[in-house]
Amino acid sequence: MSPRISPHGECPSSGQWNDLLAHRYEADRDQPEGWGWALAHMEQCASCRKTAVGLDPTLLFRRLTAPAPALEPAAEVAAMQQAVAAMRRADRVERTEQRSHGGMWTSGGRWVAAAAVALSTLSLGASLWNDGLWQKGPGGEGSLAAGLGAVPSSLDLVLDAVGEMPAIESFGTPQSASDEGPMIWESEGMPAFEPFGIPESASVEGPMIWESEVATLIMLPGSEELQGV
Amino acid sequence: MTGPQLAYSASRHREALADGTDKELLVAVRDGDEMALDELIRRKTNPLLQTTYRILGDMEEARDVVQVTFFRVWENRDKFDERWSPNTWIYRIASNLAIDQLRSRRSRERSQEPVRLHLRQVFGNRERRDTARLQEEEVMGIFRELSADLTDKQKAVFVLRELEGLSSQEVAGIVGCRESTVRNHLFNARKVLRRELVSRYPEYAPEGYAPEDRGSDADSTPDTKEAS
Repeated sequence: MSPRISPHGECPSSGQWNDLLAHRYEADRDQPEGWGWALAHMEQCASCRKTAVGLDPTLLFRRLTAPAPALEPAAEVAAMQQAVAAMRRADRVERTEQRSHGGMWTSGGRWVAAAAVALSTLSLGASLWNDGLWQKGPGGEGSLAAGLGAVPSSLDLVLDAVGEMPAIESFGTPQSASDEGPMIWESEGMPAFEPFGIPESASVEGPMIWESEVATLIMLPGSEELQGV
Repeated sequence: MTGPQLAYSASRHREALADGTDKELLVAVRDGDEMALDELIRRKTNPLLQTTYRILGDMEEARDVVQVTFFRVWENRDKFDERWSPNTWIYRIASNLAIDQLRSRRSRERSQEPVRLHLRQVFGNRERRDTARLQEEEVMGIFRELSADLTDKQKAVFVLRELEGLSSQEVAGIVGCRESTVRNHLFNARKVLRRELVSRYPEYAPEGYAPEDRGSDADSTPDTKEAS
C-alpha cells in the first residue's frame, strides 16, 4: 500500500494535479502553493506518480539518478585527487620546459632573427640605392631587372667612386686606419710577422724580421716614403 | 623532532580544513593551499559527477569534466571572490565544461537512433509498461535521446533545475543569465521533451492523455519565445 502523506490524509485528485502541474508550462506563472509537498508526495505514492506522469511525462525524468559509480565513493575521490594532482604536475613541467627552452629559436628569438634579416636586407637595398645602381644599370629604368643587370658592373662603379684600387691596408704604419698591434719598425726583436715558407720561421728562436721586408710586403699606394725603410 | 611535528601540524591542518565551510576552503585554495584543494575534491567529486553525468549521460566523460573542473579551480584560484557562492562558481565551471563537451560530442555523433531501437526492443517484451518500474538507466537512455533535441543551455538548465533541484536563482548564477531566462529555458526544455516523449514513446502517455487538452501546451507558446 502506498503511503499517504497528504496533510489531509488524501492524495490530490487528477484535477488538482492538473492545477499543480500547470505552472510547468507557463513561463510567467509561479509555482503553486503546495508544490513542494506535492513533489515529495509523488516520489512516495505510486498512484499519484502515475497520475502526475500521465499529465506531464517529463516528470519521469525526475527519477533520474546517476548510475552507481564503478568505484566506491572514497575510491572515486582518491582517484580524482590523484588525477588532478597529475594534471597540476604535468602543467608545472610544461611551464618549466617552456621557460627553459625560451632561447633564440622560441617565438621571441625567431622575431629577433627575422628582424635582423629584414634590417640587413633593407641596409643592402639602401646602399645599392645610394650607389645609384638602380639608375646606372644597363637598363637604366630603375627596375629590379635593370638593377640586377647592373650588378656585374657594380665593382667598376664602386672603384670609380673610390678613385683607385686600394692596396691591402697595412697595419702599424702612420697611414693605417688600423691601430691594432704594436708598431714594429725594422728589427726591434719582436716577431711582428712570421712569413710562411721560410725555413727559419719554424724556429721560435730564429730571426723573424727580414730587414725591411715586412714593411714592403704591405704598402699603401703612394706611400713612397716608406719604401726605403 | 621536526618530522613528527610537521606531520602533526599537517594532520591538524587537514582536520581544520575538514571542519571549514566551502568558502573557507576556496579562500585557502586561493592562497595556494594544496590540502584545501584535496578537501574540496573530497567534498565535491560525487555531487559534481552526478550533475555532469546527468548532462552528459556518460560516466567517463563526466569524470573527465570533473577532473578538468578541479584543475580549472586551481588554475584560476586567484580569481575567486569571497562574495561569490562557492557552489555557483564551481558548478559554473563544471556546467560550462559539460556544455563544451556536449558540443564537441555533437559533432562526433549525430544520431541516437541505436539507443531508441534498443529501448524499443526492451520495452516491447514487457506486457505492462509501468513507468514507475523502469530501470533508471533505461530512463536515462531515453532522456539522452530526447535531450539531443534541446539546446545545450536548455539541457543544462533542465538538469540543474529539474533533476538537481537547484533554485532558479542558483541556476541563473551557474549558467550566467537572468532568472527569467532560466525559466524560459526550462519552459522550452519541458515542452520539447514532452512533445518528443509522447511522439516517440507513446507508451509513457497513458490513455486519454492529449497534449492539446492543456491550454498551456506547446502550441500556445512559440519557440521564438526561447531566450538564447
